[in-house]
Amino acid sequence: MKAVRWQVAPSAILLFALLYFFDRTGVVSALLPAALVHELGHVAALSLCGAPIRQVQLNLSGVELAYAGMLRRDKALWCLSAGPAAGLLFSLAACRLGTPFWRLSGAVSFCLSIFNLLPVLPLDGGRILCELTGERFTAGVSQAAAAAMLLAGGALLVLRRTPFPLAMGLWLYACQLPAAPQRGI
Amino acid sequence: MKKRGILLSTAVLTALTAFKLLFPDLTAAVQESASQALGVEAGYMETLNAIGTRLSSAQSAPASRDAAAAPQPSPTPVPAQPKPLEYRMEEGSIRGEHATALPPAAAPEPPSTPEPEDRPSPTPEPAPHVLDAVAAFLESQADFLDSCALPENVDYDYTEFPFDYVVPVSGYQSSGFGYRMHPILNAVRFHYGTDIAANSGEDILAFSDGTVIFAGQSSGYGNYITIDHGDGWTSSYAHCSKLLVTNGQKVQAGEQIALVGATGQVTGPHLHFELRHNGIFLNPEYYING
Repeated sequence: MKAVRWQVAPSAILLFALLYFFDRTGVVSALLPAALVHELGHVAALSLCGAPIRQVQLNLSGVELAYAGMLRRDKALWCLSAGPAAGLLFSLAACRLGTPFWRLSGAVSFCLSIFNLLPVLPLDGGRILCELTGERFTAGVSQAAAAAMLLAGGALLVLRRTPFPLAMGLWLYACQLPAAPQRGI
Repeated sequence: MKKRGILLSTAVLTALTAFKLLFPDLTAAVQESASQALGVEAGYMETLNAIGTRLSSAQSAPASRDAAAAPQPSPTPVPAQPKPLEYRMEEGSIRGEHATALPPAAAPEPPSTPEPEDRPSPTPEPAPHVLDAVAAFLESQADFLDSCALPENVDYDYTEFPFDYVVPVSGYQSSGFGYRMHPILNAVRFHYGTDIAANSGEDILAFSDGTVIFAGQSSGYGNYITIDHGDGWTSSYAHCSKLLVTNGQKVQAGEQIALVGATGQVTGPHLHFELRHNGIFLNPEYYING
């Protein structure tokens, strides 16, 4: 069995450090189990579909899983949906535990799952749309949705003084920009 | 090069985490300064708490009552808790208006000895003073309700609070629950809580036993606390000058949790007190004016 290769971007660690330090509400800590369950959902589905994980990459775009082999469309859809599905199940279970931390983690997991189902690349919803409709259509929808989120985030910052939606909009919009050409091969 | 970057960022993460755990007060001061400098707030916490409450209450068994109580109506969907700005307390709560002296914050009543039951006893009727309070309140709201619909997340009826409770602060009621003519805006506005005028720095006590599910600030509420008492009951205490509890802390009825202040959008120091059951705002005066 091949070992899984891990790649962690220093910028991701730094961003997490700053978010954790300045977080007054405990939501960053609550995000950790939610994110873990989400990714484990993907990993479990990929393993069941015979596509073992080869590389886990942690960067500013989030967590990216590289797997061995190719997946048929139905299996790919199942694997892409597994993350949000696991997150939703976790949110129900965590809220049932009753303690404030797990209830917060459950709520964060719920939001994370719903957010990931948005039809925007590189989110799971964007990838599901790509599987169903193709890259070109998905790219158009992604850009439009990301732009809408950016505008909504800006409006919320002005109206409600909450920066989080704008930050998410900026991140999503940045993800739509063409990737820098790779050096080498 | 990349290894060095990972090591450096990990060192930063370790240092910041250690600082936060070892010096929580200093960290809180830094966080507060950063929040004020940026002019932002954690407005998402109300939404997250609402989601957590909805998901947990969607699975919990109905609140236990005496078995011989009248058949419960089929559960109706509980509307989501509004964002803070939607139920911001009425501005211009002026001390001296509707001065109704409240009983001083009392020690919690000793729990009553449960009666031996051979058969279930019927649901007790509210005390006469509560029925009078409900009738008086409904009468005061009658004119408004001719032209204004009752907000979806509000109930004017009395619901028995199943635990021991205390008056959260000594003072007098300066602005009551429900619709009223705003004294500054000269427009009808809905007030989702009760304002209790008190001197700045007065002790604010926990209404009943529970767990703090939010201790922070917002632009409207200022420094505020929300406590989960169980069975879907929560209470909120806003405009505090100082919070003395933290998220997740367990408190007892009558325990000091904050100090009266004038933070947020107010015109004078007072406690804005809200009471909710399953996300529905109830009139706190039914409970604290007894």
